[in-house]
Amino acid sequence: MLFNSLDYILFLGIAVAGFWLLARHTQLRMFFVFFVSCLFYMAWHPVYIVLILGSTLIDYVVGLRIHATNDEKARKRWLVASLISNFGLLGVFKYFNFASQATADVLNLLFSIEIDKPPFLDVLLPVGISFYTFQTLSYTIDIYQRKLEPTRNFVQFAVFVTYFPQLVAGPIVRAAELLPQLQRKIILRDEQVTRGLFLIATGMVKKVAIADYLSVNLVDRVFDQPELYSAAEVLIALYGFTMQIYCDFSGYTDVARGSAKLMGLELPENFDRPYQSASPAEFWRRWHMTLSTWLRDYLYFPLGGSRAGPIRAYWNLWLTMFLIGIWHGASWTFVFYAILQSMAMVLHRFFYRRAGRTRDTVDTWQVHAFKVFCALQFVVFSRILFRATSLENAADITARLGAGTYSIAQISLGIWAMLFLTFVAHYTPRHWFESIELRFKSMPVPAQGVALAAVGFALSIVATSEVVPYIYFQF
Amino acid sequence: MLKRIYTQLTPLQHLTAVTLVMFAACASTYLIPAMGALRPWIPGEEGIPIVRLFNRWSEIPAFAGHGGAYRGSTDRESSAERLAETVGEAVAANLGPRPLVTHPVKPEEGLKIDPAEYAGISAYIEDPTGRGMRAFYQALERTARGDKGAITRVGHYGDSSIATDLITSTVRENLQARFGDAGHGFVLAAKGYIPYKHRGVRQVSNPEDWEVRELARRQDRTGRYGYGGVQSRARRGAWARVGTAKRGDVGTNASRFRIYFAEQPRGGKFSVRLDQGERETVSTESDVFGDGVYSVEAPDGPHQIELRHAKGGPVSFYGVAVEREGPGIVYDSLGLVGARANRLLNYDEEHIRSQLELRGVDLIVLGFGGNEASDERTEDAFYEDYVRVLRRMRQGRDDLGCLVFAPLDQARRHLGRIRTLPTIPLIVAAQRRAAFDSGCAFYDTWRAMGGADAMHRWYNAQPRLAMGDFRHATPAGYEIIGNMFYKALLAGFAAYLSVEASTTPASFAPADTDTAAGSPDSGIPSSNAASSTSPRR
Repeated sequence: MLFNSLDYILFLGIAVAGFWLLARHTQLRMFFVFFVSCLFYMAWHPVYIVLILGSTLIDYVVGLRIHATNDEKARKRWLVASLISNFGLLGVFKYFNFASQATADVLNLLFSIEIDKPPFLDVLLPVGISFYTFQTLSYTIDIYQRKLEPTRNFVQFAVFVTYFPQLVAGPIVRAAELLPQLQRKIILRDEQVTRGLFLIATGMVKKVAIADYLSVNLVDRVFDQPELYSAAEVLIALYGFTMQIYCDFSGYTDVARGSAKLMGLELPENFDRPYQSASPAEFWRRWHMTLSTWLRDYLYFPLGGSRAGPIRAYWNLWLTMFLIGIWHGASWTFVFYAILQSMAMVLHRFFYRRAGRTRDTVDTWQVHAFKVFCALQFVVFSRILFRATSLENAADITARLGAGTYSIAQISLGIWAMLFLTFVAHYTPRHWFESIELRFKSMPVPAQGVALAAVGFALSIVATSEVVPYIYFQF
Repeated sequence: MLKRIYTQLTPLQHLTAVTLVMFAACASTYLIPAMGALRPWIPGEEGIPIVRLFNRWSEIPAFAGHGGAYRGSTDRESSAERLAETVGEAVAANLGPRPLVTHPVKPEEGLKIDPAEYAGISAYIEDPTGRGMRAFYQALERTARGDKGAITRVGHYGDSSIATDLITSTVRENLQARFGDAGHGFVLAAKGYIPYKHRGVRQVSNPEDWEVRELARRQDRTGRYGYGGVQSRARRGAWARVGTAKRGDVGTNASRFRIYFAEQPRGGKFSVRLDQGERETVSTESDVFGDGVYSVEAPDGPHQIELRHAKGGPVSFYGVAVEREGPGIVYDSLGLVGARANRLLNYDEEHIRSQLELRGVDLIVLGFGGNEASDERTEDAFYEDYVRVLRRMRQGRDDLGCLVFAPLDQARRHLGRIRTLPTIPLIVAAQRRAAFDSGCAFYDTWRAMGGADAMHRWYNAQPRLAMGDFRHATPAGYEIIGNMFYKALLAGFAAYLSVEASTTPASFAPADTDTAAGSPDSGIPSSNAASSTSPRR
């Protein structure tokens, strides 16, 4: 079920209504949320609910077992069981086929050994698998590190894992963030109603009016047949994709957070105007923040972080960033994307240190603007690998960029306007947007309803076609 | 009073009130006819919201807009099953990796065509006069029989849907897998900066030293654009390399490169080198404007030629044909981005005649109409254009087959609904009428796709078959069209062979559209009956 559909709006209405109707029956309410979350997930493929429920059950038991003993070896064994089950799921369903093909490719390249049909699992990629496995892992690791008490209420834990707004594309919520909210009395505040509704509307506009528009009117055409476009048009399409993916993913997060707010729950923010970053490191602190911080807390720090000696620190950084890159997809394009991003981080750290800079170093605004510009160009060009369907496609795109052709005849006025407005909006002061939200909050209640209906109607008019899926669903 | 009420609402009451207002706004679209277009749901058209999601379970959608991702994730049959639900079985049956024939056909079996080879299509070649396809079928018969050196050549002109070489490469690979690979065929010597890419051939050049003159933009006053519709003028320092493909089932070998160029007063010289061999110099100077050909022969295998501007004034190339000895098929992709059919009238009449003769083409296919769909013209106006174009290209030659390839469905979004452009049925009707009146055959691509609103269904299909501009197909969509067209050609050829073998003329098939389009159930294409009315050889 996609957020940008009538189905979801109706579904959300039913879920929110049921949630508050059952306010006095805490356990029944948890059952209800668990049930509708399962229903939400099963709208794609009912069989795969087994995987998520299996993962939930394993981590529920593991959490209790780790907590029940003080024997460090036993605790570690249970943690390893959790790691194996979760990474096993990811490995089988997400990475096995790529690993198999990649092995065949490498053997062919290095030793001329041809494997005609490498082992192939004919399975579908379960939606949201990369998100919920990381979520359940955070639970067991936190318990292992004695940062969290396990819950004995299975349904409550199952709601934490399957909670539908964040189930398929994040944000990646830690148990320590959501479980306590489920355990205490849930109260709806007026601020949450207006902010929730505003976030849902904003997310829909980002997805339907901006991301989908750029996708179908520019990006998909260029990436599918780059040979039909000039270098200038391909370059514009790269900028288009940069904005598309931001609006697509942050739009999803907005709807997810808004939906949760209507049930009195808070989900973490996932984006902080990432294209305002002045370096690759800052970009990853502002983009998909819940993934970056997850890997920082559960991988980078345990490896020793930056305190483990100079060489080891670079290795830790490289590995963490490489895993962030490869988390996005199982293909050669993502391998190279991961290498590119991780090398950029390592090099940035090297030159940052060499220049003797610290966190307190402040640039002049001209230098800062130049850095932001350069960081944006790096993001834009690295997106070639992110969006390309294959390395050949990435090579085609790159070759077209070097063609030296400057025609922009195939870029419509609407695309120009959309790119101009969205990039300008991205660099405007934050309080400009907050003032729009304040204005919405100060509107009379009926006017809020009319405004939201008007946004819905407007989106149905500008919608490109039927519902376009979110990019991050496939991760 | 009202203000006092809503300022004292509890959060839950606030949420309920907003929801009710939104609900009322939606309800008003059903009560007020003027707001009908804004209805969020149309009963009977789109299934019941939420419930409809459980009627058909799907995998994670492919990366937004990408149509080629189906190969790696699931097998062809399950993809086709899913596809059939959206676009129909006749389209879905043609999804898949090419070529359809995976084993070499022995020469003695070349003339035996199993109906299963062309099963699963809904549109066939329509040729009521029999004159449209006869030359092609005759040539194909010689090729299929395995006659020494028998090459059947097809030149497929068209707009951007052809220029991607996705439809044509699919047809090429299928035909070559079935009847023999006689080489990639014609490519431009150098593409300069124009959008141009062929599959199954290597082609590189230094664009800054080339000037291209396009037929579609009428950039040459003399109308001498060459067979491919683009004249590539080499300046000092220009070079270009054309070679066989490194990988693939076809196009990896060649034994002959034919270089087509313009002879002209003050024409310069160019050098040509095969692989790492010696350079040979060719002069293009002549007292009068004319067309020249220079052949480079080689043992059959992977090869490359390099062309360089050598000396003197400009050298104008029309293109290079990469071929083998045969028997086999050569399928030239001659797409012209942004072109309408009437741009072919920019050709000098004598020039295009001599180019087609020089190339030895057995069939020309004209696949235009996509760009015309934006023109507000009448069916008669379209018809007159096509009649003139067909006259210019065929010039009364009976030894040159001629087929009009209808445009893909073209649609636009209006108030959230995707609908076929009203000009498309007019263009298709005009093309069919013009083709028949000019003694040409017709292939109804639009009908093959599913007719009205096909683009909408193709866009919503999984894998996605149409682009978001509702004008072009995705690579997967183009492959389907290529497979369907290949099967239609094969079905027509099978019918031709059966008539040839028969001593009793078959009955006349009326030129009525539905009848002429054949029936997938009968498995007998209309061209069977239609071509039987044509004079025997």
